[in-house]
Amino acid sequence: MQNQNPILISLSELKIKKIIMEFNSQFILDTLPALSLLGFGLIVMLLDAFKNEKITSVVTILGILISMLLAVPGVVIPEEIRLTFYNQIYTGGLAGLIHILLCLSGLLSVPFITDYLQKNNQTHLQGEIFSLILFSSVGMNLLATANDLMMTFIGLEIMSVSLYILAGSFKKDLRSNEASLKYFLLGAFASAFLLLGISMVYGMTGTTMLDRITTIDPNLIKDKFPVLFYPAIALIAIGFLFKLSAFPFHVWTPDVYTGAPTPLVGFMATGSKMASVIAFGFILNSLLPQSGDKLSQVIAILALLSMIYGNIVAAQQQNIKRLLAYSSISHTGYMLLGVAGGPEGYKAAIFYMLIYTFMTIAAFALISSIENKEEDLNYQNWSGLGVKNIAFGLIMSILMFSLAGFPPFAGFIGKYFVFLSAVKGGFVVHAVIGILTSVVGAYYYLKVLVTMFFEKPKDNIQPKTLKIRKNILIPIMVLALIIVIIGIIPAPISSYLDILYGKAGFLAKL
Amino acid sequence: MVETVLFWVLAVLSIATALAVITNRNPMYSVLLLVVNFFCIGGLYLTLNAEFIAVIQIIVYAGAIMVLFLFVVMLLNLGSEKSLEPAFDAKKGLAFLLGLAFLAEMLVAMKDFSAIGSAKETFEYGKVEKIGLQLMTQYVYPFEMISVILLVALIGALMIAKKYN
Repeated sequence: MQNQNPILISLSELKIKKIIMEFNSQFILDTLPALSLLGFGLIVMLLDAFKNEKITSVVTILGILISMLLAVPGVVIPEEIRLTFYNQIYTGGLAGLIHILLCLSGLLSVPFITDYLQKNNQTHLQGEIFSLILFSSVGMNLLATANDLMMTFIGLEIMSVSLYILAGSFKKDLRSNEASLKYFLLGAFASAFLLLGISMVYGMTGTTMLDRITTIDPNLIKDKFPVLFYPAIALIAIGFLFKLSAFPFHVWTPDVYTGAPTPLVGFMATGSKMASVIAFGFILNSLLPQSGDKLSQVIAILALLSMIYGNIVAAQQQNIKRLLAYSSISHTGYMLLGVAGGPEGYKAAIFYMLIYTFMTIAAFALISSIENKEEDLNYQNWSGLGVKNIAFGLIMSILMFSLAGFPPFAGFIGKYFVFLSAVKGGFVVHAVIGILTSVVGAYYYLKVLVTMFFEKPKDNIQPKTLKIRKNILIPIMVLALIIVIIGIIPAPISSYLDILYGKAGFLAKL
Repeated sequence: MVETVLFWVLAVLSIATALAVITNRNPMYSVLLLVVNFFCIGGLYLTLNAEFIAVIQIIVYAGAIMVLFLFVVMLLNLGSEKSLEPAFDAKKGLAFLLGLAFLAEMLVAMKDFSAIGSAKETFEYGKVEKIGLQLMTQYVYPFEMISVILLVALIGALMIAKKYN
């Protein structure tokens, strides 16, 4: 070759440590959290095969807890974050915390799913659903802690394929089928975009390893490939924005969230979004280390459009699941504003995601408790429900206030950090408009509460089961309590996140 | 010399068959032409010294996937071609224009694209041993994790097909 690729030269100059060819047993220990999830997934699958469906939910909870515990040793030492398994993924430190956060959404949804399946006489699905939840948690882990773009893609596919199936798990329900098929077709389409973007990045840099791509000066790539650089990142961004259901790529969200079994939506909407936002922020940071780049402006605008669109359309919905689906688009907007705000913002986005996980899982679980037929989901029929059933009314109020971002609930803290980081990152106008759109959000969240508390009950159309079953009342109350506690004292979690973030060189590299 | 001739023959043939696939009226002919197209692309991979990908292309695409396509076409039992004829609207026109823009961009990008690494290195990479070594060392973790996707897909297929009493 006459003109050698300057990027390759700069790579060889850096003298990257040669990959050790021997297999190291340390690798297995490092990836034990993910591997144990995988193992428990297989156990749950086999339990189902040998007609032990009843204990699958217990084994699933046990498996997730063990996997979370295995990640704890890495988390207590923040400096521990490092690459493992031939530099394919990160482990320890922040990566451990990410694993724990991702496991959380699976762990919290299990009791609600168990109850929902019992209510709908679908207990025979337990084995499949719980093993899929465990496998998709493995995928989330791989996606969020990957260092290699191939690993990212495989993680994303494991996660997504599990979710496509989960969305359609009630196969006698036509809406569930529709949700699954829509999610699957559009998701496969979005994955193709991501893969094309990854192949372009490989073409430009000669590597798929993110830690090596970070060492290359982005201006060097931009000069060498002026036409290819931004399209490549844009294609990767499309792949992730689809998973996050950001504004122009949101079309699947309302149908999938309405059609899929209610407590499973809680799982689908939280874990997968958290994993995608972490991976997206990480990849963006590796390709474009300087914040304030053109692309982060584009992402800030998309965030803004998601907030405006999600909130305005949600305000017109009658179906509570559809309302929450559109509001999840606006919540994606808040998170994306964090991502656009640079490293400080990723931290805010992860924190926001954590709070959103608690709120969303609790909200869908609460809805599933009174859902018997289609009309029960229309919140216009809930008039007077808050007075009739105090527990339902109280928990719903906490969740709605928190989703709307009222202090002293956790939702407020999440929004506060996101807008703070956006202002710090120079997106003052975006932050102001974002706050205005959350006022629209407050309108429809409070409208639900007004119907529940201040309207006269109409007995003929009200949901029949008003009692929340005991075995899910306690988990929901715990979630509501967590939301209140984080809202009042957010400092321990946020400062701990700060420490882990500071020590994790990979995301904060600037 | 042989390589150049081979490249041009395969390149022209693959573009011609690809065009025939989308312009043909009979879906059955389209599928069969697609097989030819896949073989041509497999041949192109061979001229690039990517033996492994060439073999995989033939086995997976021309073999397995095409059988699936054929089955689907036969099961759908497509009637008159009229119903398949798409109406041209603004949305499709816009998609067409965007597709053209993307094609133009790719062409411009390819014009000043220099191959990464030396030719010798590229020659090495395409070999089965080299790929196997990479898969079993550097990429062993992602390689093993692909099995999870297959497992998940298997569970999904079972869930949809199984009769619960």
